[in-house]
Amino acid sequence: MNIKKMSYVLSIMAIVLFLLITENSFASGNTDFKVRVIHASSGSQYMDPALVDLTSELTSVFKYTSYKLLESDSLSIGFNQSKTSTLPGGRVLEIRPVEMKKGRIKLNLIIRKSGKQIFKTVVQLRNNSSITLGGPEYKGGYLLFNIFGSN
Amino acid sequence: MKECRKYRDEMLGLFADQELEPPLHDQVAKHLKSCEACSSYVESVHNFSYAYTSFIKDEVSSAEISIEQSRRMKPEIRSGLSLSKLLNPVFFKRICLPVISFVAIILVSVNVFNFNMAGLLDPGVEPSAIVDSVDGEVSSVMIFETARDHQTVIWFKEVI
Repeated sequence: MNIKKMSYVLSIMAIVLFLLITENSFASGNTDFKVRVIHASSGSQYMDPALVDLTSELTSVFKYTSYKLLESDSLSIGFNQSKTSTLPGGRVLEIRPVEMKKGRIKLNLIIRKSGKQIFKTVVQLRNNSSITLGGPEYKGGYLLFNIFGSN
Repeated sequence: MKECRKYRDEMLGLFADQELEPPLHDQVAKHLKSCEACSSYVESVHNFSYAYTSFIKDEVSSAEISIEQSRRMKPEIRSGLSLSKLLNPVFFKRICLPVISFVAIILVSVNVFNFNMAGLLDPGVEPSAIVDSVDGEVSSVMIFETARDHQTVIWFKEVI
């Protein structure tokens, strides 16, 4: 094998090794989250315009007739860092992205009330998609927390 | 240079090598009987040819043997062409190496760049979130997925 061919092969190997070593670095440092707090109830029929992207999904699984957006919060969080979003009823949502692997963001979601951990889940959220948590009772209805993540 | 000019040197050389046609050969032979100059020239050509052929005789024999050996080896060489073609440096460089490199890059990219092949083929097939664990002060937990967009929903009931 001449030098030119050898250098070609070594270049390919170097690129492969570089990609393997720096696998996680290709995921952006911060993950952007959008948290929407939704009040679902069986009152008069109403669909908040800000929830148009969730309408069909929500109505397909829940029997409620009214969906109102209470709060919306945007967070930008680095891996292995956490930020909180205030929820109605003295609750706090803590989001902690852990890593990005195979197109999914692994993150910890913790809901606390009065400083006490009420609910915790570890999920692998597909990039640019959302998960909905629910539903603590609130003012004659229930609270839904839609969390959208994008890296 | 010989004195007689009846026959050219080339003609006499051919005579010495026995390469003249019989009628012409006989004519030259008859001339040589009476011409000392041409006879001397032919004799000198004979001596040179003898010395030359005696020198190269072995070399020619060796060449004949190697030619014979290569003829005998040709079938074996032909039978190995398919393997030798694959190992041919040009074939390997121009075809195999780029193909192997391309396949390797694709395989690494699928893994390293977090490509989800199932998601690429049909992003709607997989759920939006895969639940690894659930914990907390809850009395019940339900995990389900919407039909159309495969949205993951976790429904929990707090312990009052």
